[in-house]
Amino acid sequence: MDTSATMTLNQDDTVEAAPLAPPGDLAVWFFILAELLVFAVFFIAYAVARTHDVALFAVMQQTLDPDAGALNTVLLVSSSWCVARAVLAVDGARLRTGARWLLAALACGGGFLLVKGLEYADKFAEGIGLSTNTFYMFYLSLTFFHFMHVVLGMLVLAVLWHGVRRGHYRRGRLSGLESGAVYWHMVDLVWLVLFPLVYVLH
Amino acid sequence: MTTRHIDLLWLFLMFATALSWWLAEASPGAGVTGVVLALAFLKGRTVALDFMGLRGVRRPWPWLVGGWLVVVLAVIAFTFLQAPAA
Repeated sequence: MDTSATMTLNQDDTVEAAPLAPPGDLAVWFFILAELLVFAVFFIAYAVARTHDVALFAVMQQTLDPDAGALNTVLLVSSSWCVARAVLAVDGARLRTGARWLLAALACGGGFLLVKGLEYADKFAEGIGLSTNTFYMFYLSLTFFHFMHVVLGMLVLAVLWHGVRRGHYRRGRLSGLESGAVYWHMVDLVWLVLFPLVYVLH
Repeated sequence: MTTRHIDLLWLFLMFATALSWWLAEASPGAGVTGVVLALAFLKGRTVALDFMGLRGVRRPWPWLVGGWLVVVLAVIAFTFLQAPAA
């Protein structure tokens, strides 16, 4: 079995073969697949539960702030972009630039937590909780589950930032950085489904 | 992947997010549902292939993440089209 990055067809004709494994540690990818599966169950449960009480979900969705949801999408997508730029910078031996991009990603992640926290505070002040109704049971549990992933992702980003500053990563030794980066992108990917499902679609 | 490429992808994601946000105010309907989910698919595909680095990686990895996105969005589309808001 050919495991090399290139395959030689003959003396003059060489084609690039696709890398076998995705960037980062393979174990992290299995973890990501497990996480995606759990979120898929959540999303499908929400969508099916909605079909049993469309009117309730439609009215309750009106109590959410789509501006906050859109702002959080901008923050999380921008944070993913910053992480992608950080990996590219470190790969190009620009460690200081890479560390700055990771700090920017952390700032965007912090902004996300702040906006989401303000949304929660607003709802709790109105006396809304998990037992308010089916919609809020799903909204609070689904978004808080994702919220905790953002918190974990930010801890990972902070460790990566420290590692980049210490020079732990460089071209050919990027697996740790890439593993943390793909986890953060997964958190972003999940939000890209959560945002339209909860805030936009009626 | 170049920095310019990544920056252009971010611009696309911002544009698609702005469009979804604008559609949040639109009247519910099959057309809006379709466009919003199509935008979610394109955004998710961009993050999976370009940011997560699955573009060019051998199967099954791109298919697993892409398949997750397709299945989840298809189920959501089915339930919303079956039971639209009045």
